[in-house]
Amino acid sequence: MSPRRSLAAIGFAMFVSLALAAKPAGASMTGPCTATVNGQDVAALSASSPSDAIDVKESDDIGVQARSSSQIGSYRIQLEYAGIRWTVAKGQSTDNAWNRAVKVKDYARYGAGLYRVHGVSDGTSTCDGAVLIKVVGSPLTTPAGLVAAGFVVVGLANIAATLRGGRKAVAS
Amino acid sequence: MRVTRNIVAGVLSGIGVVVLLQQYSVLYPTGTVAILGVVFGVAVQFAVSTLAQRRNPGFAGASPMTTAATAEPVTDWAGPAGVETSTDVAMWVPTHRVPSEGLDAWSQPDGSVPPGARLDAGLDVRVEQVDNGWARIVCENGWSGWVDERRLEMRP
Repeated sequence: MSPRRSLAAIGFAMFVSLALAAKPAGASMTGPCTATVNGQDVAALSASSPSDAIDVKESDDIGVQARSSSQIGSYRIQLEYAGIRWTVAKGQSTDNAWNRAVKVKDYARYGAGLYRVHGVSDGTSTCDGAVLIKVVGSPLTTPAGLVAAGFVVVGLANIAATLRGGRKAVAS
Repeated sequence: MRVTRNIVAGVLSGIGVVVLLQQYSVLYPTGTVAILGVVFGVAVQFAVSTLAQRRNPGFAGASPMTTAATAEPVTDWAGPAGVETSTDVAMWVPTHRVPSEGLDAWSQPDGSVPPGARLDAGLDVRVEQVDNGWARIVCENGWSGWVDERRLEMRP
């Protein structure tokens, strides 16, 4: 790959990144429901903007409440990370509302930072509300943070080795 | 080998940066962001590698600019006695040195086109062929190109 192509590839990647980052935040609630997380209305919060994230500590419990205009059957609370979702709690509701507390340390024990939490209700109508949770903590003291820092060091080491190889050739 | 190393380092560093941004609450990593992070990481590794190769053609691991000989080997070339004219990198023995002002190199023995690379001063090279004032040189890593034969310095 020529230098021009390399720089063009980097420029394109940066342009796409910025374009996607500049995209307006999507709606955080779908369906005929209302929901709150730790007492905050989910519909009023962006599910992608870090400034709208709800701060919690690792020792906290998150209170999730939802109400629908119709009968709710089952519900589940899911975490999403890099586009992948998994269920951390689920249950049944006999009327048109449910509430559940989730321990933060049960799913954020490997790291701090931003997580997206979904509350999903099935029944007569399906609802999906999402919000960002910010788990307060020092990234470099968590397993996820340490592994990520190690990955970055590997990349920097390869760059350093590449540049050092060039200088060595010139000196020889 | 270098390609594999760049891809692995790029993927790991891309993932690492995205996760660190998430851990520091700067960015929430959607699937698209994660993929872009990996692509960006790999692109940076290859860009650095390519730029380093362009600036220093003789650096270890550089891809050969050309390996095809376009002229017949010159059998009466007065090179050092006992030096074999082989392109095998494992057998590489330097015969000449790039002069102190550096030296332009071409992929073909054709001065009507701009040079494709600039060799750094003092770089050891091996002359494989000479053809009408041109010398095809091979660097230690197998990189080869054509230079002005008259400007090459004999190694002491």
